[in-house]
Amino acid sequence: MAYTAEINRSTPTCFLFLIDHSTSMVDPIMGVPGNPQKARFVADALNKVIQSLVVSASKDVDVRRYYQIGVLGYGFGVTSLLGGDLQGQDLAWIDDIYKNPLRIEERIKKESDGAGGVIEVTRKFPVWVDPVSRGQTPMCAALERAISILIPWVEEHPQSYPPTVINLTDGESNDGDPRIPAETLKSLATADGNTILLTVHASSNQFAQQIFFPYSDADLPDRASRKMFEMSSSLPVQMCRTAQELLGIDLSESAKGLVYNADIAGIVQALEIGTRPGNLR
Amino acid sequence: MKNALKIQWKACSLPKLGNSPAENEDAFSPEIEQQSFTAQTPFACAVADGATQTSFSRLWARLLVAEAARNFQPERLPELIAAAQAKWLGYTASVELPWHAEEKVRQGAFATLLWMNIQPPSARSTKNTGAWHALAIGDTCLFQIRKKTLRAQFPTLSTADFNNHPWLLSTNPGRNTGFWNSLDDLRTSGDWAAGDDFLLMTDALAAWFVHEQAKTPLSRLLPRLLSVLTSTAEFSFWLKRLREDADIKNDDTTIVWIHLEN
Repeated sequence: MAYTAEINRSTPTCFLFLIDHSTSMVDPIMGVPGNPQKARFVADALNKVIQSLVVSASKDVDVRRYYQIGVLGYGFGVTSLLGGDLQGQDLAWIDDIYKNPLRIEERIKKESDGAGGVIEVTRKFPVWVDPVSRGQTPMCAALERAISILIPWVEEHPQSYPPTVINLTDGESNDGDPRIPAETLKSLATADGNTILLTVHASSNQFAQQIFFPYSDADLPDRASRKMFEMSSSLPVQMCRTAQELLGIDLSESAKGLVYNADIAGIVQALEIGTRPGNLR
Repeated sequence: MKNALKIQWKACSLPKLGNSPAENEDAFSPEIEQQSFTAQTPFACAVADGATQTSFSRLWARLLVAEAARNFQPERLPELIAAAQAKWLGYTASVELPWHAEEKVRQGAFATLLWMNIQPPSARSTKNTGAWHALAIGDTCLFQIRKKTLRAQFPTLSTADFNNHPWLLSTNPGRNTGFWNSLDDLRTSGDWAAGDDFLLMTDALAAWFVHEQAKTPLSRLLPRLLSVLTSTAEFSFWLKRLREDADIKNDDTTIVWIHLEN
């Protein structure tokens, strides 16, 4: 059965994030003045996801090598966003990611006090990715780069849970038809299954309907969204379960890994569904 | 010696393949590999299985079995847990932790717990028999075998049940409150007779044992199992083969064998 491989130090997995850096990402999310810029919100959400991955790989005082992580920005060309000692690397082990944030900020969070109340606490917030919103949307180039990174990865990890690629964008590719490289990317496989490509489309319009994991492209509004539907993989069963837990929706494996017109919560939930390591041991 | 328990004890515990012994999150108490002894007071033992996905779960499992085997009655489960929690929290607060570990400590550690208590024969008893009591949270199992027949299994789990998420005891007090109202469901008791065997196993081996019993009579299965408990090396060799053949889940694996002698 596919997508059941145990994720451990002998058979680690890989998460690769593709981040749209186009100029339109400077606009407020959902087009609502006062909302955070899409680029800033996506960067924040991604930093939280990487932080969660570090915590999930944390064992006592160490971080175990359960995952390799890559973050590619696409705007003016395609560049790896990893910094510090990892600058220029396309993929890095999760323990090296932990050691190499761009900086560690302190942020105030509201948490339960354990007695029914809420308290404000200061928590460390590592930042690996800063917002960028300058350039075009060379999505095909980003997918081609992902292919070149993952071809050797699947060869080196033939028994692993396959890579998960999450494409965060607010628009349409302007360097060709992304369905073509997406098909190649999805064909890269380990013995446990094909590479999973998820698409998270950040909303630019507060009146546009948010669509989670559609089964068909019939409800999608335009050609661009239907292309995203075709590009995206079907959801593996573990992601269906996580989606059910987080969103309360029943999904089968024929649902597509696309969240279209995602609002603030939608982006966070889609990232969690795509990265929660269900098979971690 | 009259009214005494004559116990033969063997225990083996091995980490999952690919992990070091220091990463084994199973625990048992008393922490003895092989011994024959006579006890005139009730004999208590415990096995726990720390959850892999949580941090400091090896410590948590070890604290639980130590508390349980020391002086425990099922009615006092909340006190036992509180004592182990205090020690776990004391330790994790005493070490400087990186931010990822701090977060993991806030999430807490989790473990199963199986406790067993064997009472010596009563002073009035003319036979070498007595009572035993057990408490189990999670999928660490006890099997009682008398005259090559399974007399008791606790908890009663099928092969499929071992794939579900078991109940686990947490270091976070709020996560355990559900247990206090269902203590009766977590306990069992029975009687023992001289010659009985008890096997206590963590989930991987217990699942294998349940599965094997369906196709192999205990008269063959038990001697086969006991023959590999002569040493940790022998058990390790046998377990490695089962893992390679995918007959057993690659997980930390613990077995305790208790034989009650005449």
